[in-house]
Amino acid sequence: MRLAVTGGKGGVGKTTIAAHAHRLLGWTTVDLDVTTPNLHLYLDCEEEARSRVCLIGPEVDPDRCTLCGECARVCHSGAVIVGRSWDLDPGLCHGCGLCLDACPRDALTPREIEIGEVREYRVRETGARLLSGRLNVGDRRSRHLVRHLLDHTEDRPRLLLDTPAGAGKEVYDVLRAVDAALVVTQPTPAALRDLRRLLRVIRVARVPHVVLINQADLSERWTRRVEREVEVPTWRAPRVDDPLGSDELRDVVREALDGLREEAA
Amino acid sequence: MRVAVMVEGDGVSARFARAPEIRVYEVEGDEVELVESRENPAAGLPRGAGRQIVGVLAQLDVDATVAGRYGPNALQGLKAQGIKAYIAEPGTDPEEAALKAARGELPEG
Repeated sequence: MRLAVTGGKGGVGKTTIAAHAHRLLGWTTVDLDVTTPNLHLYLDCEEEARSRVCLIGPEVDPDRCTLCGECARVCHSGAVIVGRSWDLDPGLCHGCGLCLDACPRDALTPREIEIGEVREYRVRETGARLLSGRLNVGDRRSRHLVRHLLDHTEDRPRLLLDTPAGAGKEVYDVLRAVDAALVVTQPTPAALRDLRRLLRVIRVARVPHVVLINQADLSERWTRRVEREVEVPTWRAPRVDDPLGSDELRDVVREALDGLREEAA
Repeated sequence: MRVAVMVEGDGVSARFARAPEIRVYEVEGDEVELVESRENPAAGLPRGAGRQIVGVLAQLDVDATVAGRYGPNALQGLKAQGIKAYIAEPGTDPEEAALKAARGELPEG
């Protein structure tokens, strides 16, 4: 089973809940919050490996290139411009490879364009792996890194995926790749608004899900609104002093995970 | 010298890549001749206009361009193509802007 922890709004406790879920399940876990990965800080772990993540872009052989411009014509992102010179902006390249195919003179050869890296950790408590994606600062190709991580872990039968905040394209890609989603929210107007948006994405992705209302005792009124509005089972988690060490919180996460498996069955 | 002036309305456009019109002038001494006027194919692009317009200007084989301001992607691309990027006050008469650009009397972006 592949399971995502998601939720829409940032700061509602997704990663804390993901850390509990990891410790309860002991599954390989992937931190897909590639611009601000931090699940490794929530779990006691040691880094074991690091690998670069690259796209394949073009490198030009100036002796063969006649500046015919075929590669620029097929370059959808505008990374390759050809006029008086052959010019690549590596930051705009999406690695589609069309330019390499289009060149009539074999003047282009594949080259690596780095967009980030993957750090692999071993979690001491569970012995399981944590993979953490890390996009290079300022790079705009977060979706490519998320996809790389999803492809890279495709063969694992049991996987826990911590998504970034929001309801954007990366979250959608993750939801399309999982069997079920644990949706974390809070009883606040902003969290409910983001939750609505996320649930629309979840419906498009057709993923079984349950909702965990974190810090439900913040507001009975807004907790009830969330419960009324979502059409799936919900769980209430209380505010606690030490969220990562709390047995009470862990028990709620366990119940929600059991409920999620029933929903997905 | 061939100069592409980015035009909006009747004057130099404040924007480079998304200006609606491109006018190409041939400048020799004091002679300024309009050789081509065309719609800017990059004007309506959702993204990446700054790069695409450089490709268009490279095809037009111009030596310089004039606009009110330039984006970073555009500037980098123009530099790689050896096209000088001149800045003129938005609304300036395009012909006058082309002449000043050819004489190097405008500031560069």
